[in-house]
Amino acid sequence: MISIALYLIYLGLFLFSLILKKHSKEVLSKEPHSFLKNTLWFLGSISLIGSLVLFIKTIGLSLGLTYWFGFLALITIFIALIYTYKPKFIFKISIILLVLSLILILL
Amino acid sequence: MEKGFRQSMRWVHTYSGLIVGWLLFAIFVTGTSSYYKKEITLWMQPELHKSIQSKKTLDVAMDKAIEFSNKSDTVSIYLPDTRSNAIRVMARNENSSSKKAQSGDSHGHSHDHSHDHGEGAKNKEKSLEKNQKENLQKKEKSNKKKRRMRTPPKYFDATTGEQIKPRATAGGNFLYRFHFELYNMPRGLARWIVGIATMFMFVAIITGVIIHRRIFKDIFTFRPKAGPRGWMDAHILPAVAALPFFIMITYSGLLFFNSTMMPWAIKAYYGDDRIAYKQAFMKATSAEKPSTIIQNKVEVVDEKAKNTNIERIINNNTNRYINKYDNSKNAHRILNSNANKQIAIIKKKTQEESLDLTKEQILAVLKKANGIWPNNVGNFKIKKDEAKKTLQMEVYPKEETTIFSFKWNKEYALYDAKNARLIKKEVPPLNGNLVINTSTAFMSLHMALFADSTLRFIFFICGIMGIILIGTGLILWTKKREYKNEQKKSIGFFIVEKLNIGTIVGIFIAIAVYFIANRLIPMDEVLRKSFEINAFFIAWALAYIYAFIRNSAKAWIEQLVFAAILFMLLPILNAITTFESFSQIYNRDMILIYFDIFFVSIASALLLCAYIANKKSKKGEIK
Repeated sequence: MISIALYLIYLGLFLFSLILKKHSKEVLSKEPHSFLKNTLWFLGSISLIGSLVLFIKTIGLSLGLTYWFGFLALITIFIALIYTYKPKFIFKISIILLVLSLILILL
Repeated sequence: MEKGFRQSMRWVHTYSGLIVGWLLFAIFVTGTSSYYKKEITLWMQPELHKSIQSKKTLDVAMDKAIEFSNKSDTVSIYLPDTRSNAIRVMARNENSSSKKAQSGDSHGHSHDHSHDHGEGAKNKEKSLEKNQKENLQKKEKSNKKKRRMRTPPKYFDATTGEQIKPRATAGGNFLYRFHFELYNMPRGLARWIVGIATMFMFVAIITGVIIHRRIFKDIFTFRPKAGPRGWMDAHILPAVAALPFFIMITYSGLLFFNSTMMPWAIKAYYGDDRIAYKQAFMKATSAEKPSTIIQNKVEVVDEKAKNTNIERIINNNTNRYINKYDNSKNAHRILNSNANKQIAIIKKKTQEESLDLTKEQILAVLKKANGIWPNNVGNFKIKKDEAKKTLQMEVYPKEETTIFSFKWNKEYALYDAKNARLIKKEVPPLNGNLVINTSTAFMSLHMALFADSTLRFIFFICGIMGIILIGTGLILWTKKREYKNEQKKSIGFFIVEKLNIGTIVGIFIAIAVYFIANRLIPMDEVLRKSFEINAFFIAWALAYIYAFIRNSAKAWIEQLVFAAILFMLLPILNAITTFESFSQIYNRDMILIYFDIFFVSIASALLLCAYIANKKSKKGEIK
């Protein structure tokens, strides 16, 4: 369950990053229009809230919150490094991470 | 107005960060390493490295528990876990030491009655009271010290049960103490210095948030090739990503100093009586929640009463028969059967009253505890009370289930060791006091004592982000003023630049030398503990001297390479001094393998920094 929660943090932050002009130009080669921006904002928020709920449900309120904030910092840096060095690969990386998290949940 | 406000905040941010930046850098490096305080101590005691956890570990631990509980009232058994690889035993006689403390107290009180009465007597009385208090405090302190001194932990091999005597070392404790008490300084003064630095850090965090206009727009931005802008990104990226961590760590750091920096509330209530304050605090923190389970006490008392009743009846019957049928065969038969009954009852009674622990009893308790924390049963403590005839066992979870489990309020289950009955289970927070609970939560988060290995690693990475944040902040100050300095040389710039080199690289050199000294100083050296610490400070001082006498660009590169070489040497030196066979490279506890990986990683990171610095100096960016 934790692997899915982690992926949801990643997904939420990734969707948020696409709202930003600079990154959407790098990844989508165009600026997002306002409807897309709102959708990304909504989906990103749902993912982050979902991950927080999963963390709290799995390991309790105090530890869940602590884990969530900790991973939020780590994954933010991770996404920033992808945008710095391999921005074109971010979709592929997202899919690989999704598969990995699904495998981990099955193990 | 807004522009003016932001600009003034920028100034506050720059100088609040700069003035204490070097101290904060050292605090962050040593503080971050303190997340692995126990592991560092373990690495610095290679005698313990041979111990490996196996199937026999629990058996050995139980043997030790029984052996020590025969001699001591309280025995704590620490099993190998993700942070240690040997069995650690702490045994002490709590009752006797408290008796001694009490007798010491009564001795102190005996002076109460020898007062003279009269005009001058009041003053005399006051001074006597003061003296008594001081004496009491001194005695309390010395008792505490003695208690600590008397009970050094004993280490045992987790498979063979052989006692291991590790070398004397300050270990991770030195780095941990340094991060809030510095070294060789009056404790109060050092705490004030670190407290003020923490306050500056807090101001820098708040002003940093205010001056950073594009906090969300630039959250994923890092442009390493953009010159000073790149340094700015390297400063902002970890700052924004781990902002909650920095706020928490700084604010909670300040909370640790509350009684030093804001003593007025305590003084108003307790005056100078620190002991009274501490006692009241302990009482407040250990107030029991109504949900705490307490059971079985009544049952035990009933059973005892029943046994004594039966005994009385049997004795009465026996006496009656003896009186009635004196010399008859029947009387002898009855007497014999009664005697057997009595023996059986006494046997049962002695078994219940016996304070000798058996393996079966320990196993039964651990099995029960496993029901509360499945596959998560950790250390245990045996508490024997000869006066009350109780034998109890406290069992702790391996991984805590709440962050409120802190030093004075651990999560545990208490069992009656004789019959494996649960007496109570305590899951902090134990009281509804919001102020105490908030304070505990902050302190607990700061120290991460509750954290399992994953969470500890996340805290460690966040700590590294803090190191990067402060380091880049310090470098940024010089980067922004480089051009200006070229036009007109300034002494301020010179000092900041040199202190940057001496602190940022110097502390890594010092830590590496501290580790190397641990392996090279002879085992039988009496002062080896202080020699290690001296090596740390001498190396650090030399790094400063070198920075001041060498050209800055070259000093950066050379010191970075030197630090990398030192860290690269550590796994080799470790292998030479501690390995008995080649198989030990892989056949040892994972903690020690992680250390080698860490040393190589930090050496690579330092080499990378040296490579970048070298490239930039060739381009003319560093002069």
